Amino acid sequence: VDQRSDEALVRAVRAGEIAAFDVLYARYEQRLFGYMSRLVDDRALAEDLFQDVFFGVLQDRTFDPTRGRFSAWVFTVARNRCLEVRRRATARAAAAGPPVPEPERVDDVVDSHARVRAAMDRLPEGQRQLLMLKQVGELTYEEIAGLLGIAEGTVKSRVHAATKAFRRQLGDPT
Amino acid sequence: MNCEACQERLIDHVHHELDDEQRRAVASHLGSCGDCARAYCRLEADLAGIAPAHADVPRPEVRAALRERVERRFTRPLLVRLFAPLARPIPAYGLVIALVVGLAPALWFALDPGDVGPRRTSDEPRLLDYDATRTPLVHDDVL
Repeated sequence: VDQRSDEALVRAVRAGEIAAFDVLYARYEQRLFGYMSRLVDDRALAEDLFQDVFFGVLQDRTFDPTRGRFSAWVFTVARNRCLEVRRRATARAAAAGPPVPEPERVDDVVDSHARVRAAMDRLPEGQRQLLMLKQVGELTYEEIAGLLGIAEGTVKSRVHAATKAFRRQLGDPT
Repeated sequence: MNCEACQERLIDHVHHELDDEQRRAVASHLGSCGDCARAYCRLEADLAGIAPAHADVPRPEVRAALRERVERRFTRPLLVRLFAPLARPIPAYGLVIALVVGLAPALWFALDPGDVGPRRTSDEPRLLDYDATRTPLVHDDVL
């Protein structure tokens, strides 16, 4: 198992070590794609965006591996990209008329993952985003504050509120 | 730390956002208070479900396509790779070491030439132990 940090792996990929890409990809495949897939709510689109974002952050020299964590950078880029695409999609949908509701998946009801997803779905967008960044992206309060452009204390209080709201939705109030 | 203070910090504790001192205090309280420990376990279990519930992987084709793009962009040509060690910057201390190693023998001989025979004077022959006035060895009366 490669013990190098994400930042060291980015440097190695940029220096031409393709094996480092494999390690980096394995670390982010689930987390980043899960996050993006959730944001855009379209698997095929998420796959395209995932490719673009991952390749983009490796190529983009504005990310300096000696300053800041790679995970914070990549999640920031992914979030911005997904929100941009979502805004465009919303504008297109508004022009096209009301959406056709999808049939509910009955088999998911007994699934514990579906229960968690349902609880997350019932949260306001902001709270859902925060919990995704914290739990899926594994970002720190400080990194989330930088990403959202708000104070760290605000992030902390919002994460607390989001956590409590999520547990209420899950049926397990504190 | 009492239960109320511990409960207030449980969310930050689960999210690994407490400083060392607070983390130790909460951990110590959790070790001695069953109610708080149960509350902590429930909270941790609830939050731990979020990541797996949203974990999803793209199709293998996505990885293959991305890898190909990365290879095309970042793999250097063979010649560049062969000469890459030459292009590496030499650290400052490396230069100092090279100078010291290179100059050390010269300094050694300059400061202490050692036992290389009697000092020559200008009228002495240039070769050591060579006497131009002496009969050459071939004329020595051996027999």
